[in-house]
Amino acid sequence: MGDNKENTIEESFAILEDIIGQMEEGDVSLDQSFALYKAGMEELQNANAKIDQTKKAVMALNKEGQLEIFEGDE
Amino acid sequence: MNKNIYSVTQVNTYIERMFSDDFMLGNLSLTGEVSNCKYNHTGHIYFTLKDEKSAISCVMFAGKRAQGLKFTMKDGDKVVVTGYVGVYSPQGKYQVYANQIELAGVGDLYQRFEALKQELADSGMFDSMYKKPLPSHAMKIGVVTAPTGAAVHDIIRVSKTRNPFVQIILYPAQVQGEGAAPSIISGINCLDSMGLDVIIVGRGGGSIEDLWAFNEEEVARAIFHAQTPIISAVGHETDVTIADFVADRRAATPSQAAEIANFVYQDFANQLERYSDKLNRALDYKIDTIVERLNNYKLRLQLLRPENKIKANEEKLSQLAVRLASLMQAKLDRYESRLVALSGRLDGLSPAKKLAAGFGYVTDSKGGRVDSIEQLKVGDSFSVRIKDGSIDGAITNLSNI
Repeated sequence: MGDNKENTIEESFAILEDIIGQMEEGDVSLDQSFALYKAGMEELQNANAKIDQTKKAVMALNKEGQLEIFEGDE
Repeated sequence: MNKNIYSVTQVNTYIERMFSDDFMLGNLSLTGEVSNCKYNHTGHIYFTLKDEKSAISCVMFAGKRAQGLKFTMKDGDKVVVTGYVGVYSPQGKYQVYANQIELAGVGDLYQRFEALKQELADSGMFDSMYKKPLPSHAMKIGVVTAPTGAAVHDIIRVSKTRNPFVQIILYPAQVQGEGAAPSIISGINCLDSMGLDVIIVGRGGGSIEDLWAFNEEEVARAIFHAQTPIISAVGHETDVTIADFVADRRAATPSQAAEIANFVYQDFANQLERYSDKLNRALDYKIDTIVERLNNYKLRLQLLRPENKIKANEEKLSQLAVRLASLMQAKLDRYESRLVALSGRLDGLSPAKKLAAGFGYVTDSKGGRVDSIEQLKVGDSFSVRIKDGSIDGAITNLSNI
């Protein structure tokens, strides 16, 4: 966890809904639209970065309390 | 002596009625060891219940088995039979008609279960206010269960299907028998300290004794005090343990626990995709709208340019010139045709033409035109011009017509 206030994925989704809602309203300027778009794309990146998209082996704690790959997982 | 003699049937019927009228024999539980246990092909079970000194015949009819017998009874089992004692008059035998058969000790366990459940409920440990919400997108999931058997594989399989990127950390626990409770507790404490998103605590199905560790108070307290949200998943749908009441969420089976714990990654990815599309569409639309407005302004400005005004005037001027020229031409054409007509007529009047037709042109001696006899006297000379020459002569006679 970094020092920045990090949003949960749910919070990110809520922010995205809000941004899209604002953009879809007619009365935002082009500048505002670009700013909202940029913020939205950043929020998307944030949400995406929350899920580490690498496959991980199932780990099991051994008797020494250390993690090792769980062999029972065929 | 007036001694009545009864038939066998009369006696047996009498005894049968005595039994059925007896309050105590009508509903009782008795305990003993099973012997001579026979499963009849009709589904009835015949057995003998005995203790050190005595034995009694028992039967459980097929229709009672679904509700009343939850295990496979065999010789040597210590059981508690609940039912009534009745007479089988064809043989003059009395026997126990069982409605329910439980393993001895289970009743104790059940009482302990109820007592602990009540105690913990009274202490507030089951209150919904203590239930921690489960994370919507768990990425690290702890599992306290046996490292072998269906439960752990079901959890891994279902988890990976929903979210291939989930990190599962297993605490291989002893889930039944002596030492099970301490093992489960240390699993909960250990995984709780690892900062995971959620922990599944459970095992597959088994008898009430097999599941008993999950009814231990210390296990319940470990679940209650854990900082990580805990899903209990013990046995099958119908098995309910103390752990289920105290856990933040109860799953009916280990598979269901994995379903509850894991979000569907594909849904998440699709959701991101939808947001991305919406953002792009919203911006594209904004840009399109503005470009359209710009084009509209451009068009209107172009129409208002001074050159356009001049051009328009020039065009009008040249149109006028063309019109003028064509009007002029029409007029000229008209004159020309009139001229042709006139010259035709003039041609008809030409003297030469007349002469050609055989007429003559008479002049006096001075060359003046003669058109009356009054202009001449006898003896005057005159000249007649005809087509190809002139004739000169003198007047010999003049007469009026």
